Amino acid sequence: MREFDPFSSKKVRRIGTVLFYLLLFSLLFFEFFMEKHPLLPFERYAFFAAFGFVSCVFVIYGAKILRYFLKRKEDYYGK
Amino acid sequence: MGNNLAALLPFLFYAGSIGLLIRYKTWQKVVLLGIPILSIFIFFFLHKGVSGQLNFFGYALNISRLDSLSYPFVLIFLIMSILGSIYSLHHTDRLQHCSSLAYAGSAIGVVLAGDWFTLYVFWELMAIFSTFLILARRTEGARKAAFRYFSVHVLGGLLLLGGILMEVKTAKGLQIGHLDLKGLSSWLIFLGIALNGAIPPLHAWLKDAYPEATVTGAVFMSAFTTKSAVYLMARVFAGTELLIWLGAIMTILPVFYAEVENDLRRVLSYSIINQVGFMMCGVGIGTQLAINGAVSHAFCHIIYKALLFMSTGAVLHVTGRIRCTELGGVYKTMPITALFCMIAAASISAFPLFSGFVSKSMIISASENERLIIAWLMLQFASAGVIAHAGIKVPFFAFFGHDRGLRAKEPPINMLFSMGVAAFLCVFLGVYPKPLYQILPYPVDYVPYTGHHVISQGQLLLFAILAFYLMLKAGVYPPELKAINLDLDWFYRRLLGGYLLPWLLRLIELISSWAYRVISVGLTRSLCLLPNRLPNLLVGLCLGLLRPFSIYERLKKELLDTLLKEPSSISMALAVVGIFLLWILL
Repeated sequence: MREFDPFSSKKVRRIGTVLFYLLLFSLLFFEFFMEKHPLLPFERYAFFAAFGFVSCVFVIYGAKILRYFLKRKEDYYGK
Repeated sequence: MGNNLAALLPFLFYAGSIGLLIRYKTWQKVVLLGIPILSIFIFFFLHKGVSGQLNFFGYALNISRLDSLSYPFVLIFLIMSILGSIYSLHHTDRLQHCSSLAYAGSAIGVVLAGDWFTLYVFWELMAIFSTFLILARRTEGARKAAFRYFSVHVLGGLLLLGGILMEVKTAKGLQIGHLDLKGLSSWLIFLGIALNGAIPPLHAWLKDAYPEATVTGAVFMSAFTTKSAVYLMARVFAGTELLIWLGAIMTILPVFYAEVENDLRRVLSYSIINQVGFMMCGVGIGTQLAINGAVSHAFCHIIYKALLFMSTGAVLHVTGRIRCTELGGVYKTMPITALFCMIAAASISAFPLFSGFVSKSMIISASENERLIIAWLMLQFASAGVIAHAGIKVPFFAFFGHDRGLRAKEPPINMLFSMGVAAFLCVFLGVYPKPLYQILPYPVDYVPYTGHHVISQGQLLLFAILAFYLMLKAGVYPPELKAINLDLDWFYRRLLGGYLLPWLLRLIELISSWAYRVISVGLTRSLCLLPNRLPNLLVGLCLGLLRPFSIYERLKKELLDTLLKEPSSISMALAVVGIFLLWILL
């Protein structure tokens, strides 16, 4: 069977990572030209970036805590 | 074309379902595909309005009411039934084909129904036919899950029925219209709809049942039941404040579960709850923008969620595996399926240029306009949570992740085609949302692509991805484990079915055996003490009287056996009987 496998090569991975970081910085950079919303009192520079990052960390740690308390074996309810 | 054709749409699906009983492969494919396509052609000729009026014991019924709210839902249900039919063309399981067509027809019936009675009938039919899509997997686990699913939905249906009957008594007529959430009747209706909409704490049935359904059945199920509940909430309880908070909680809770779930279709089931939360929140806000947002989000969601179920279903179809712990690296031989899955993941995460972006941002903007800051923060938090579970986790663990040496082929061509159409729609609606905005219930004065929207959403999503990436690299991300996590279905699967019911049965057993002994033995003995011929006669009579008891004993033993084999479902049935009695009393 023919395989399609570009993501194993280190070069492709490195280019992907560089592009990803470039995108992140450009989003932060273009925020300077963005009109602000007057509706939200707490909106500062890079608010959404920080909020997204913190939320994701919170979700993952929250899920770990949930797993600590609620994890059971696969056959808990019988097979 | 007459309007009365609208009332025929659900029945056309039923006719197709009956037509599928004929055992002839080509005929089956023609019917399966022809009925939804014919229906959508009819649909485009329909005018908005009421049709299919009937007189039922003095009540005026409306089988169909096509207005600006039901129009987009009927359209997307029809599109979905076409996509689902194409997706399931490769197999010849008549049970699945029949029930999926009938299920789609019932869902269309629910959305079209103009009065409560018609609605209730289609509502129950929807529950019945969808149960067969789980049963059709023909495994022991699926059979049990189907029983639980059905019991829960019968309970929900009875709540709805109780509410409807009380509502009709108040002489408002049978027409479905806006209700305020006060008084028992409206609460019962609310709970009935909330159960189908999987609003916590009534959500556990969804994550319990959908992963047990067949590959093609889950695709159908992901679309109809919850979204018809969203429609009905928008019809009846729009602007109810409680829904804002229930919706917001609903977006957040499943995110944590999805993150540590092993079964990929269960991750997607949690993701349905999360997405329906956005819609319920929009319905609760109730402004024109919010209702538009909820409806358009339902429209887009049906397509991309179906695409997610299709692509993971394709993996299950070709590899027979669906757990994160057993999958990984299959993109090498299934690149097209992987691409479609990623398009769906980008849509559900609401990346700019994908369909989720143009609909979800409407709901979030509506919360912003109404100054609902806390709800706004909750929705944004949930948006970052979506990218963590549905956006990255599903495609990553299914197609990339650890290569477990699986070299599976691409799925059959009909599956690929159906996924391709869905993926096209995801991108098309994201790039060019105008056709979608034109069919929404209220006139749309909303521009999704402003600098602020694009940059803020881009930052939110990409920095969430950055957090995910860094935590994965640092080894903090919870690893895939062969395990389950307890949810609220524990209460009826374990507490009620596993602990309480056996005790209760033992108690009944004890009392009845004691009563049997006292009556039969005691009575016979005391009769024997009487003089002469009389006792013989009486003993004979007595034994005759006792015969039903022995039959009862045997029956009870059989009943006990079945009960102990299937405790959870029967316990739910007991609850249903209880509700039913309550309803009769009312």
